[in-house]
Amino acid sequence: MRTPILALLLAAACAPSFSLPLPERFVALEDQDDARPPYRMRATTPDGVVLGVRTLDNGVEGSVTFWAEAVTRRLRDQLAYALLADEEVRAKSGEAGRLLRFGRDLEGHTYRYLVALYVAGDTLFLVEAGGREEPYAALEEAIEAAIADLSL
Amino acid sequence: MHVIRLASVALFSVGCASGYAGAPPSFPMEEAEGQRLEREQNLSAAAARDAMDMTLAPSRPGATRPPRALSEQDAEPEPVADAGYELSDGIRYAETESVAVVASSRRRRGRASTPPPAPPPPPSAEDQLRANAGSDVRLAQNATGGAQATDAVDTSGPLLVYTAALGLAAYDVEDKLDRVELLARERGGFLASRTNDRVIVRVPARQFQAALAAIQELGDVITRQVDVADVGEEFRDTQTRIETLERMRSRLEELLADADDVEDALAVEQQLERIVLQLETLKGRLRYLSDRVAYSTISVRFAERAPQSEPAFELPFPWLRELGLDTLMRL
Repeated sequence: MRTPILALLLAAACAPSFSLPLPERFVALEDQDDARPPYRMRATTPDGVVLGVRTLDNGVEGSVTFWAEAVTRRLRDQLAYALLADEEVRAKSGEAGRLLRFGRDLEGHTYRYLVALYVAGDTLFLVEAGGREEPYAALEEAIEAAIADLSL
Repeated sequence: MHVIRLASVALFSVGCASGYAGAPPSFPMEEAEGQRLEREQNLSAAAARDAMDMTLAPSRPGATRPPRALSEQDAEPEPVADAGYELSDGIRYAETESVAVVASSRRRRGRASTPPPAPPPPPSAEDQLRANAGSDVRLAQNATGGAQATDAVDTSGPLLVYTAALGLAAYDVEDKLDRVELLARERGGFLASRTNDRVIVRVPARQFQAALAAIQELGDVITRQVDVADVGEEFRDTQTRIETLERMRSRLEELLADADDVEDALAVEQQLERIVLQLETLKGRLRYLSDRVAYSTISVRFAERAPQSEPAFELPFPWLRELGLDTLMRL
């Protein structure tokens, strides 16, 4: 059961818009445009599972495949994340995307990290979710359902 | 005293005949393997010297022998459970099926996990040697001792002991430890020991390569060492020594039956006791070698995947450097 609240973000007139239903147990944080790096939306649960969306300029017209490989190389080869799954997905609005699931051991704890990538026009949409293994696993289905409902 | 002299002369002959030459094998090996073999041979030679000592030296009340570790146990300490057995020379021999699970801290997270199945029933020495597809070993019951048969008849070929040590970088180490254990069980093997980052499993020798390949898929291989040792010479030498000592025991038993007085009988009994002790030691060694041949040992140590210190190539998109949990979770 997802909260029927849309994290509809229309911050700036020129900013690409999107809508992402917020899964239950998440609250959207304020002033994420001022964060470093800026997020279009970021939400968290009480036990530290975080969901965020960034929009990035895709002036170089990189395809979803290009960005997926770039992200994978960065995370897997340089930051030692383990790639657990890589699958093609589609936004509710029809854009093709890639969903990458990673794992990471850090200081004796296991973490999960998800990246979903979509290209729409000259914008790259980057959806991230992550947290400690146990609370993340409990919310994984809801998080991925929300991502499947993403409209660009 | 006639009886005693006879026994001493005969025992001296046995001691000399059973001495282990310890000549190094001629097959090529890496240096580490060579050192390991050399150590094993030194131990064998020491065992042979001990055997002679035990035969020839007068018994010393309260005398104890310093414990010696077997070569593989030097390198890979494998804790053993109660079902192992320790002989008088301080060497502890492990029954293959009864090796302890050390610090088997089960999954620390709430994910579904099933308790590991009970260890398989103890394989007999016959089963262990039959499991070794590389050697066609026919076994016979030890007619005189009645012990588990390690008296392999056909051991003329090489008897190879396979061991491997892997260092893997992997995600979710606890899960990977479970999977190594499961892989071994699926191939007829068993868990030998386990800690929070390391697992040692034993698999039938014919499954060694397949198991090794499957385990390597669980992570990025950082280190890999595979050793093969031919224990055929030591095995055959030990068998010969057992046969010789058993003949000697029979002869002493005859002498004991013919002893004229108590003093003679006691002297023969003393020698007989030493022979029996020696026999048990050698049979234990044979069982140990059989086990090592039948079941290969794979040791796996897992480590967290480590980030590259200096990436060789970076794309000119700064946001890529801001990916990851550190950034996302820094609220």
